[in-house]
Amino acid sequence: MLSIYVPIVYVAVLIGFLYGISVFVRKRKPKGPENLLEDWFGPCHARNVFFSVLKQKPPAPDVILKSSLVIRGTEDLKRLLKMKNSRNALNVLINRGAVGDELIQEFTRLEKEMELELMDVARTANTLQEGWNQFFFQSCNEIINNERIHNKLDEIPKNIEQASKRWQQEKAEFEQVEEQKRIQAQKELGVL
Amino acid sequence: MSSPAPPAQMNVPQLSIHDAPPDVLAVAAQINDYTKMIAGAKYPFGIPPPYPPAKPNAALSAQVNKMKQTGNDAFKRKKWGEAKRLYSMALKMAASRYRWEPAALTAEETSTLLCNRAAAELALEEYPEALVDADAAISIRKNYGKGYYRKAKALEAMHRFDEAKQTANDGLLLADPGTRNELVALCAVYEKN
Repeated sequence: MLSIYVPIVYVAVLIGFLYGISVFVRKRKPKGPENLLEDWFGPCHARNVFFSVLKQKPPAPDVILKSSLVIRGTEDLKRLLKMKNSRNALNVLINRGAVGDELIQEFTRLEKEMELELMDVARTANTLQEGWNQFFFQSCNEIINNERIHNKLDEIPKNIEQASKRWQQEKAEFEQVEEQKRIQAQKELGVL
Repeated sequence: MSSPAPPAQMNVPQLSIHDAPPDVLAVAAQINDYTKMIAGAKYPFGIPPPYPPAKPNAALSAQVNKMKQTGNDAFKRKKWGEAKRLYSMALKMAASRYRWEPAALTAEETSTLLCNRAAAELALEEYPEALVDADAAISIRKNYGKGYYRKAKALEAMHRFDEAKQTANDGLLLADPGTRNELVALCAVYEKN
């Protein structure tokens, strides 16, 4: 009597186990859309500040809203540039066949999210002021390039210190060598 | 971000955030700086050029150019210290340009001024300063042939002949056609040695 149920129980357990695994694997795959950008680059403070300024009661003055939007756009453009560099590296790796599908898919999703974020920024800019979205990213780009130039200018005093130290040492050595050569030449002349 | 100082009576709204990690405070500081600069510049709608009604600032270029010319005159008259001082002042003016104005302009002006200041320092025998200035000029504008020339000269003066030769060759590869002449001559001299 017992032996009739054994195969039935066996098949039931098998099917139940396979069903459980398939449910588990399907639930594991999709990550939350908002988290992917933050996973890669870290939390975007400029964006968070912008949204908190937006939600302020009483509403924040126009100037501050526009400034926060510009800073947010600048930060997003910086991330876009980093992503473009990474994309080049990724293409090289793909050509060599060294990357798996998962990374490629994740990166494509990352690019789409970036695109959505930038479109959101442009739309907000247009809402704040008609026609601004055409020139918004141009200004942000100029801000980024100017910041690069100013960083280089700020490094000059530090570099001068380093170079001076090195030159002092080398100058002392060089003058010693010159001194010895002169003494040598004088000795030869004296002998003569 | 630094800027030409706005008049003292200006009432610019500022963002204040309390109890936040330093990254967030840094972002708030950036927003405040930018707001102050925009308010000082007085564009319609508070939006910087090239947004249509606002026009870019042409006066600053003219001032920087004038100061550069004065520096060049002092250089020609062999007053090296005066020339260096004037170039430094012009550099400060060029650096005070608003951050949203075309970076190409800032790059051109600063790299030219740095190169000229390097020439004055070479004449004053301040070789490390000349090297650093020429290096900065090159890093701001990669195809500036004169910058490579000055760097090679500074290295030569410090008896680092291998590096000087390397710089001259790099310059020949990277430099723009209009700025190459001295470099070509220098390379010829190095070839002979």
